[in-house]
Amino acid sequence: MRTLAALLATQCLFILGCSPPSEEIAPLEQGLIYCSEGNPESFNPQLGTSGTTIDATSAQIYDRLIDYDSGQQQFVPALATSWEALDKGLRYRFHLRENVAFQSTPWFTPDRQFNAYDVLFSFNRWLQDEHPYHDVNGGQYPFFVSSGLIHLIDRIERVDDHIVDFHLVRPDSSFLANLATDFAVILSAEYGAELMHLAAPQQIDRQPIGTGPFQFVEFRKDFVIRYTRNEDYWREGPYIEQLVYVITPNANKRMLKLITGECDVIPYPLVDELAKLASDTEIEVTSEVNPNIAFWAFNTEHPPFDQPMVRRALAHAINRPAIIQTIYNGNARLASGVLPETSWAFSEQDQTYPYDPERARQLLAEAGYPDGFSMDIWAMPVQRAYNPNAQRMAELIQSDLARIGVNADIVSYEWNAFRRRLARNEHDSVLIGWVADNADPDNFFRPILSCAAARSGSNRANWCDPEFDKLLVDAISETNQAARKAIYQDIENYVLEKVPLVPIANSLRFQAHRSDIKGVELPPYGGLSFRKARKVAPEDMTAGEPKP
Amino acid sequence: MPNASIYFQQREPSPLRQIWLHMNTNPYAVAALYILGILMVIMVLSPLITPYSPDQQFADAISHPPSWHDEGEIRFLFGTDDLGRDLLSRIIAGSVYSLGYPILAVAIAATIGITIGAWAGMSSGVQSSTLNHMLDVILSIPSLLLALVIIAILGPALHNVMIAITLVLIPQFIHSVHNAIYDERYKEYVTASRLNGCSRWYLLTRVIFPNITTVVVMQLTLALSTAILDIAALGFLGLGVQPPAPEWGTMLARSLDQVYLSPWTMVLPGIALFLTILSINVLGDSIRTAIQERVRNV
Amino acid sequence: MIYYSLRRLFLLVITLWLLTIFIFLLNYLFPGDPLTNMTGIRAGDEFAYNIARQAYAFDQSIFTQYWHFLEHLLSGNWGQSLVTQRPVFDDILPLLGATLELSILAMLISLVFGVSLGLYAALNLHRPADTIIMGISLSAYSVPVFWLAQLLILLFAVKLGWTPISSQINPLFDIDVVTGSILTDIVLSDVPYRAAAFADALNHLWLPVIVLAVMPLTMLIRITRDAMLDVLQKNYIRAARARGLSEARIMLRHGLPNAMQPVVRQLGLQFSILMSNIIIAEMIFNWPGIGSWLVKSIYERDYPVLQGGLLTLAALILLVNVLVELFHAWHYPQVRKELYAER
Repeated sequence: MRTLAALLATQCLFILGCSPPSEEIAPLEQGLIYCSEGNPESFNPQLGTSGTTIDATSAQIYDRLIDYDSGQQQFVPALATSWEALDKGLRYRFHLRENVAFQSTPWFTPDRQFNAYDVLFSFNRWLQDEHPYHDVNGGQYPFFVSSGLIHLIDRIERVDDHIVDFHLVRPDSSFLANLATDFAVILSAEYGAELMHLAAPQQIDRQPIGTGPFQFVEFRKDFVIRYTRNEDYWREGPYIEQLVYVITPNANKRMLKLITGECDVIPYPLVDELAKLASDTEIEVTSEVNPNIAFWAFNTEHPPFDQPMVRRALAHAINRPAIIQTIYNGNARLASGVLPETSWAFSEQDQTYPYDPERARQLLAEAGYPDGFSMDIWAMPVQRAYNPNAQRMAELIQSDLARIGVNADIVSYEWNAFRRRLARNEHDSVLIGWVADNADPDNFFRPILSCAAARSGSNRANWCDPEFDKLLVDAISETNQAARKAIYQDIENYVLEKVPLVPIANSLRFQAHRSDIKGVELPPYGGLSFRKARKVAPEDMTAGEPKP
Repeated sequence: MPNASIYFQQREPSPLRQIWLHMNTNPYAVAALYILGILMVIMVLSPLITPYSPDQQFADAISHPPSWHDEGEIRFLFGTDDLGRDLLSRIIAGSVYSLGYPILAVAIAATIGITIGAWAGMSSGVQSSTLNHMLDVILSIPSLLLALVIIAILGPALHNVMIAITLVLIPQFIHSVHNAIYDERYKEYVTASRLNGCSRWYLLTRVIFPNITTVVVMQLTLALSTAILDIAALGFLGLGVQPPAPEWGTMLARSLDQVYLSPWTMVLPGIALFLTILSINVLGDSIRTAIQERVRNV
Repeated sequence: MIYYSLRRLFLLVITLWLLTIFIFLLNYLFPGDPLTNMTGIRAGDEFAYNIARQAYAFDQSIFTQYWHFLEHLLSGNWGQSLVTQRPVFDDILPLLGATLELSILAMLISLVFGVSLGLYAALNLHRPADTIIMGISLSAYSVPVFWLAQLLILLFAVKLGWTPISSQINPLFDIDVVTGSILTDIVLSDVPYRAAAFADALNHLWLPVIVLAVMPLTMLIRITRDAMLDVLQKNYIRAARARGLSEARIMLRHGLPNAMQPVVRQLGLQFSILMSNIIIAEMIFNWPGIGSWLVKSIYERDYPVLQGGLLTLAALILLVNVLVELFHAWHYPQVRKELYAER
């Protein structure tokens, strides 16, 4: 058949008068295919929290004021060349980079370069309720709400074209960390104004313009996202002409396509399978420590899950070691609490419930459900670093629950629909997880269990406990690390007592790519970046790493 | 010899019996009949003969190959799936979903469809022609498409799949029975009976119906294979029977996640599905050939 | 013939009209707000929702509502997707192109091979060749398409590496989507690497086409064989033999044209079966066609898209069926007589 195709190709040459074959291979050699696991929610990371959206947009289309270098463990300049804290940490001054051009695309040609107005536009969009773009495309900015940034920043002031001041309500050491996350991207104010003029403001998140290394070309839902190189990028890279995301939700298909060469890079590979199937010379698997936690959250507003005793019973009912063995093939660590081992506030003490169906039945009877009940388990349709197969995990839990007389149905929707419905709290319980955006332990509790998170729809347990929130505030206002650690242990114990969620596992984040691809960056905090990615010809591969 | 007939009398076997005799000469049809029979017996006895519960998970035997494989174990004849569930038990238990429920759906659809079809076939004039046109329309649209729409309304669950498949099959029965009766009702033998003063009920049940049983039987096999395929297809798309029920289509869809490492999880349910459909199709096909032969011989 | 054609076309119009009523009623049957299901505008967006309420006359009787719905439908306003907020109608054309490309190629292949194999089987009646062809065709007919597709992918794409696993073309070939049919789009585009792209597209295309062709192919073999057997018993064939015509001439001039009549009659049905399989095959091969679009819209509860997909697929199937009938009646006048005699 291959010969048939080749034959037809030569026929085509004849009929169409196509150009000679030597020039034809160019797009294949200068492009890179990333098989992503799902559709992005939009092309603006400010609007979402999903890792899929971040991976597809943040580091590709946009830049931030500052970046976090995980190797040196410090903040490094990006669109801001330097910054300083003034007024005892109540004011941060950023000096902006000059000669940074916004992308020039068929639908927008910038007339000016990046300046302070763009910073104001990007931040005020979510900061100010009355901003013309605030309500465009939903008006939800979950990261900024749940991280508290929206209440921390009082106002932003333009000093001159290349200096901006951020006025804070109170000093906060996590401020810079939050600015360096993938969510705090810089949009173009000029583009915003032009769209307003055209009465099509919603396009700003669909046909995005940023300063990043790649510019958006097209998006066909469920099929591809296409980017091309930003010719005028202000720093090193990109080295590839074309970056294509092929949306491939099925993990097995992704792996097979990597082996056949239809994908160059894939996220969340089936590591064990890959090791058995592919030779090391062809495919490389990289793993990064990833601060994450997979958990099973109960909707604490839905009866009977409003009773801690019921939640505790279910926590006893599931066989978590078996889950680690079956779902993660042992490539994960059984969670001993919400915080992962890598966090400095972590303690060795086990803060979870052991597998004990007898005890579970007993607790259920005490709570008034001796004959069990029916519930649903929502399982993510996609793989995440913390959970390679939520649906299979749900099946394991389903059979564990059947043993204590609880009848569970598994519910799943397409990823974005799933998240939308979760935010509306339509679930009884959900298998999901969390990847920290920065190294502070606060990031493991506030965005997923605080009252603010419950309001913004990112608290999967729909749990709002004033006492818990008070502990969180205590922890963040304490400066002594040892004292903070003690408070975080209290918080862990509080979670253990109330069981809004059952921690399941902490795992590594894996990524697999073909051996001729170099330089794909996978930082521990945040999404991946193709800025320095390149394809090396096989003969160059032995010559050494081109990685800078 | 009290029973001896005085006159030579050639008894014409009934149409159904003729078909049966013809089929007996076709070894494939006989084999298919046996296979289908065995499958039915397995299905009926499935709660008794599964070695393990289909949902029981063996944590020590995740993705074990079938017993004929070098690494296989005899206690799991067909191997286990990625959750350590015995595949043989799941396939046997799955026959209830993939064969039993289609049979039930076909039975319900046939009862309703044949009743309406018979009524329509016996009535005359505008209403029957209108009905025919309507059915023409509905029937040219694939049953799977309609079932998908019904599932979109009701949501994916076993009973909704049953409703969808039954609803989709009814028009096929109405159509074929209606047409068959329509073809028969003006033939001489029917007219003769009518002139004899038979009631319409007698005409329908005793005069016409024996002559269209073959059509009905053929339609039954056709509907059954459609029902099995559609239920499996819905399961495969994740819109049918929900896990952990071991429906074969659902099992096939699940197996895709590990098809390369444990191909038996895909091959075995597929073979079960294939054998079932094949035996039904062979039966239907031999009935059809038998009818054709009969028509040719007349 | 004109009378007959008009009758058929009139029936087609009536059928399509019934289809629109069905789709209109679906909006009330689907869970949620009927107006949202119809237009894709959520009640949360009050301004747009009220405009839609007016435009679709949702404050008036259900008949008025249907009338307005029909008006919008005919003017190409099919609502917008609940997920992407894109107008449904604008998305349909390229999807339809992709589906048609697959189905037409599969239909052609099954027709060519089905008729020739069926003919061959009929001429070798009850010889081993016939038995083998019929046995294989009956078995192949019983293989569920989703299983077959997976087995072939495993064999040809993964084990042998002859073809890619899924999608229309290597996505690095940047081909503008115009018609949706990838081969047409490549020919229409002006990229420098057209030949390579065309070869790559063909390499992606052949496996789904074969998978889809299998079922109509097996049916056509059987229909052709039966038809040929019928024809061979006819007196005019005997007469031709008696006149001493060569066997080849009898087959090609007298047998085949007459045997084709029941084959043509069945083409509409075969197309319906093909469309049913294409829904599943597009999902497996990640083909950007109407079928996969429809199934994904069910996953996402995107009712405006679901309606658009249903209407397009159903209308396509009805149209093809009527066209086949018209062709049949035009090409075989004796059928027309039969049809008139019936009434």
